[in-house]
Amino acid sequence: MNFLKKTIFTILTLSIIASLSLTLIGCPPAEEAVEEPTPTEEPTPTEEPTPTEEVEFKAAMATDVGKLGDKSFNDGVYAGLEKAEAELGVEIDVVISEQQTDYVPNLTKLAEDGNNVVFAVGFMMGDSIKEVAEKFPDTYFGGIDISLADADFNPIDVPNIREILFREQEVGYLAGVFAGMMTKEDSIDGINADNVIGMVGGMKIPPVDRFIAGYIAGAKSVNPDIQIEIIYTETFTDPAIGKEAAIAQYEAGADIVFQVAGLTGVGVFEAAVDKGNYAIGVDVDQSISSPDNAPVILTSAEKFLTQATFLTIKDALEGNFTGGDTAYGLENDGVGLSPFHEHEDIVPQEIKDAIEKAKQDIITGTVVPPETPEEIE
Amino acid sequence: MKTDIRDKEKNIIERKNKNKFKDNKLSKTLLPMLVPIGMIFFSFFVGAIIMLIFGYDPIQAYVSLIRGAFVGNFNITQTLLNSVPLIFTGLAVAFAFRCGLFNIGAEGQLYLGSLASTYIATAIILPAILHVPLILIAGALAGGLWAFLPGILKAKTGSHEVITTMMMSWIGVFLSSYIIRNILKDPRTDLPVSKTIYKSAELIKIDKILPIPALKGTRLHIGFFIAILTALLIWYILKKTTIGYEVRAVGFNPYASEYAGISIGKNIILALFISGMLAGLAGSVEIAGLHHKLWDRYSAMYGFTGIAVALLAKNNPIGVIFAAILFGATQAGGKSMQLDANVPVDMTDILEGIVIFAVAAEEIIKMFIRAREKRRLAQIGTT
Repeated sequence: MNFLKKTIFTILTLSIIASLSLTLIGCPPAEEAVEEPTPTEEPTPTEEPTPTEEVEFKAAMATDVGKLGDKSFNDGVYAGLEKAEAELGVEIDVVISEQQTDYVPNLTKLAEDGNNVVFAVGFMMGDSIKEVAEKFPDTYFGGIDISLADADFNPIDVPNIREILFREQEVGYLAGVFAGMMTKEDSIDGINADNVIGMVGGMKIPPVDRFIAGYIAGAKSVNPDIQIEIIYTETFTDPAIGKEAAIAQYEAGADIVFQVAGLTGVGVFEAAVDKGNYAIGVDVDQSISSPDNAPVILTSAEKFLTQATFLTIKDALEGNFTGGDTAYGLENDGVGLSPFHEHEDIVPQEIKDAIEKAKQDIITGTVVPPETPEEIE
Repeated sequence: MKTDIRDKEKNIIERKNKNKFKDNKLSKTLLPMLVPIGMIFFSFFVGAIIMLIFGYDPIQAYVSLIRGAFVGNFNITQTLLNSVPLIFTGLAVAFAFRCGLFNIGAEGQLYLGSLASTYIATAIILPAILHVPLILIAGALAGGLWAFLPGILKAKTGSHEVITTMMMSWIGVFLSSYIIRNILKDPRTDLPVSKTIYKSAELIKIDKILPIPALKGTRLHIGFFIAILTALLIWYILKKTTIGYEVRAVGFNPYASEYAGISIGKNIILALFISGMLAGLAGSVEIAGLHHKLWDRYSAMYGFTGIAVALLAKNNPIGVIFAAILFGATQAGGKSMQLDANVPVDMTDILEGIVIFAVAAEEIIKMFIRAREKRRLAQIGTT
């Protein structure tokens, strides 16, 4: 017994000493690490006069609370960073926000670290990006889905913030046309006879509402009697709540549920798998980003976040950065309905034609989808 | 000859007593401090092993953790900012602990404090000199009330405070969610957020009162000093006042206290009320000092981290300050660890978890140390 105690005690003491020495040792290598670039730089002049040094350009993003791995919003922006890394040789970084209170410190940290372009992802980061951008006037900021406003909610522009906005209502409209027609095709496995479709929104904020408004308008344009169930989950981060909401809608007769809820939306797909019905993805082509759920994802209402992020970095790198609103819609390929993939064969040609027609109507301005659900009433 | 031997024996006994005394003093003053510090290092060592297993470089990770927490004016102020609510919730849990009560509902009390403060700060305009104290008092009272109910229940019916504070906590969290969305909500937006508080209700930023260039533009506010003063006040109350004495007596041995004429029920209610006030203040100071508006579900689990802070501080109010700064530092440094060492953010949670685990297991370590001391004393005795 005594021997055992002694052994455990020795192990503990040793580990304390070891961790002490680890932290102590930890410091010198840090200095070495800082010095390290000098030796690596030395061989460079022999080859050519350090061109890599001048082009060193850093871009980074702070996720919203949906974090990386949401298979939509944050992942889409990160893919844009990766594209810039691969094609432009930009150094990239990402910091995860665990809660809303992280936004300001995370953005500040990224600006302090000398990043040239810093992305804030999501409407909810509007106040934070404004606060930080004022303190770092020489850093460019890209606010995905962010429309800046002053304390009285009047829209404002800040020269070093690009507000990267999408006309979600346009692709929402296409999704509505698609779902409104598909729900009548009850010969297809998983489509029932009820003239009901569903919609799960993360929060009642403008970008989500633009999707919803377009969806309702699109569905009613092809199917005036359709019933559309809408639930706001009030969270973008809880798949369990998303699943509950979607199950309620499938139970109410919906066969296709469109989700605009970030990570919460993953639960909608799970519900579709359980109930044997279908869902429509959002932000990125979720049949690809969430392959496990591909059999239930008919299509996705895409915002080309990756491209918008990439272009913003490219503009900043080439000295063409402009602040203020930059809107992406159908006509400049900023939004679009993703391919049907494995469902290509079950979607009737007339539906594909109707979507194409709606798309042309929106581009030519014949159809102007509403921006808020309230406009439809 | 005989007296000589007797003198020698006397000498030995004296020396033995002296040694014993010295050891007691050592274990009384040094051990309580050394053991938690040792446990922190031990936790970081275990963390390093976990990082190695998953293929991360622990040295780089810890260097960036320390850099991100303490190097540079932004990082250091962020560490202190993170620690402010944790000092309050840590004190809240520690104070109740001293009375033998486990207040695990600090999260809900914090929200009630935030609600009351936000209401006063958005509904009326007063000179700052009155407005700021008023919102702090309102927050403290609201938080106190939320813990007062479990206190009454415990004192009158004996229902366990772990259950009641926890349940009240969730009621508080969701009640505040409802109130923010329906009553305090800024009508000009659809977001779940209250109106912005009036300027007169804001806690002053430190760069406004201290002309230190390094602090310029940082978000650190006087709430940090309020937190430290509160910790000193709680230390004073516990150590130097009758209230503190009674609270501690009930915590130490309720029946003996009752025998000595100290009311158990009164002290349970009082301890939970003060505990709730401290948690409520955490919310008030966050709103008035940092956020200036109340977002739904804004708290980063400060109420629960407060339990860990109190544990690490051994329920010592002064220790709470340092424990809170440690947790604030791991959270601030965790961002740098993510950026520089590419260690996922979850590693900070794991580290905190190990610290809590190690602290909870501390009694075991103490047992070993005591056993070792005893053996050493026995050895001295035999020589």
